[in-house]
Amino acid sequence: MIPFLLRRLVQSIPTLLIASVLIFFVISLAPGDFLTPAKLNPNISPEQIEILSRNFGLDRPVWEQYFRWMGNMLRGDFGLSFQYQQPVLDVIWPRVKNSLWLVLLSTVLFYAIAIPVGVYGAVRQNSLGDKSINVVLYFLLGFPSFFLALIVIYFILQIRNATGLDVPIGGMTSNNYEELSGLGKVLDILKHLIIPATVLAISDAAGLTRVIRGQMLEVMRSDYVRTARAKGVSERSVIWKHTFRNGILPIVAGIGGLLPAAISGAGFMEVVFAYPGVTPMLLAALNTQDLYLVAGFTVITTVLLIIGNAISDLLLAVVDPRVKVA
Amino acid sequence: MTHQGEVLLAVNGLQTYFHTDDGVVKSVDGVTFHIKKGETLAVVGESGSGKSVTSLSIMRLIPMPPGKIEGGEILFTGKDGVQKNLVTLPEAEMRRIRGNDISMIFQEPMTSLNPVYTVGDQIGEAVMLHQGKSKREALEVATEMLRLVGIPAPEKRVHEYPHQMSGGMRQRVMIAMALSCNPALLIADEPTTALDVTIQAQILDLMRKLQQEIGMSILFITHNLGVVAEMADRVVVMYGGRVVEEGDVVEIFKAPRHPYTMGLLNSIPRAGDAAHVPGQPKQRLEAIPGNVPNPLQLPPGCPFEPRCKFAIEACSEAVPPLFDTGGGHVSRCIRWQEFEQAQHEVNA
Repeated sequence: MIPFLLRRLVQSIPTLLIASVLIFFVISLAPGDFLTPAKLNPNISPEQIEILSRNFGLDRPVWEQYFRWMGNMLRGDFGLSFQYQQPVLDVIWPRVKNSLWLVLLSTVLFYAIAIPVGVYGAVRQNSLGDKSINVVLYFLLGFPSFFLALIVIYFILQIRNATGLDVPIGGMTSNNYEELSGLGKVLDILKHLIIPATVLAISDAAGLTRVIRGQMLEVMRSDYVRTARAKGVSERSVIWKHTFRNGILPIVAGIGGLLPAAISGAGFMEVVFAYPGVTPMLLAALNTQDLYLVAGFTVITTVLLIIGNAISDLLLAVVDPRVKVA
Repeated sequence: MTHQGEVLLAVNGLQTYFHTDDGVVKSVDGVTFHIKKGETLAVVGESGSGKSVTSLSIMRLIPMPPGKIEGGEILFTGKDGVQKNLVTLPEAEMRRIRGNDISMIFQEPMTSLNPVYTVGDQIGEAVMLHQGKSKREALEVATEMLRLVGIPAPEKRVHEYPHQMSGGMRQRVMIAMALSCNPALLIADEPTTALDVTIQAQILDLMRKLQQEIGMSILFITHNLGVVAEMADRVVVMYGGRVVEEGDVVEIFKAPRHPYTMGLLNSIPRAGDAAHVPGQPKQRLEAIPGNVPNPLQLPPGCPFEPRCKFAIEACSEAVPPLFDTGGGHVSRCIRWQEFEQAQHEVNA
């Protein structure tokens, strides 16, 4: 295992290098820079712009900016966000933390929905239940998640108007959050999380449910499942021990993607639910061309993806004896 | 083998149909045969003759839907001495019979073992299930079984995964798994078809040896008549979902009474045939012309009639019944007596 990890580490160096070049230059390719809005503002003098430009290093050629950024990063310094005038990591971290709760909860719900529903669809293939679930899944697959979120918000508002039931549908904390006890704070956040996490999980689970159903159906037709039945193994054991264990192998292979996804936030769901996660910050950073914030965040995601893939491979070797890490 | 002669399994008028979009496929249509204790019965036939469906029907492992056992009975006397009809047995009781009283080995050893569990786990699973043994005891039984089927270093091999073994080894593991609970009946569905010829002989030897040690009956499904001659006591020949001939193995080879069986026998090479005398025409193997009939459109008469060189008009009128030709030998051919006479003349 140690040689495997070492080789992975060495292999990741060129990957990261190329990724960082691409990230930096693609962002720089966009016309203008962080100071463009200021240049258009008649109240800011060209002298001020020039000073700012020199301070930010934006007066240097792009390749020089890249090498300075790269050199600083190797020392653990991800640079300064133009917009916030703070180190990139300090800007990102609290938002990543907020997003993490949402993503973790929705990931748990995601698997809790997709696995039983997918297995049910395969075991009771073509039953009324399977067919009804399929209709819903196809609907969800073709339906943009943010729009689903808007519909859910609409219905919750209707319910709230009708019954007075207070389910928060925006933000992460209530107004009186600071006055709550420790447990109260946790419950308050959970209350805010539950709707966006559920909507996110349901809209994402459609795809995985289809994959699990298809995998299960394929394995159920295999010779070794027939062998298990011929041994007199119970149906529950046939499904979970002999079929499911083999059916999830491709899913285990993709589990590494969860690591970067965990900090990348819940995307549009955060915007729709006004959740203080990573996505609104990233969108703003892209809009204002906050170079180091965007580039720094993307590099972190890339590193996590590489680590995640290595974890995937290790896990796959654990669940599939035919796969060897060496 | 104290019970020699007692009937272990009796299949009476078994009908297994598959309901497909194109119509009903009568894969097994009124099949009747029996197996005595300690006996090896070979079921012979081409692909699509219904021999595998028959064996899966006995195990009640027909994929349902589309398959369904529509009629007939399968009477089996288990290790408890009670005769049961497997067609109507509740699923929970059927599970106690599978792997315990009746076990099965399959054609494809490469894909018949679960890739993510060790062979010890897979053999031990049946032992734990049917004999209530602990995991450790089951592993000991598994090791013993591997030794019995001739796998070297069984203590080590028991912890290996199927992908670490060759096809012949895996079939040995399958046999070990099937015999781990001392079944009364072993169903072997073309167990050597996917193996190299030398390995085939080893596996057949092993099965014969184990049958003598354990005393189980074997239902041997094959299309290979060479294997039949080596293994079987009696033979059932199937065609188009029906039994067309049944009899003692020596009788079947010496005096077949159905043209299909004759065709099968003529299509295999014999040791003497190879000696080609120069100047004389080479002896060619005789193939049966045509193909197995479409199971959706079986001919109204004898299903073999379109391919049969002895066919007469009466053959296409109705499905012939099974004729008792004496000595436990039956044939589904209306001209069986003529074949018998011809054979007498040859012998005379």
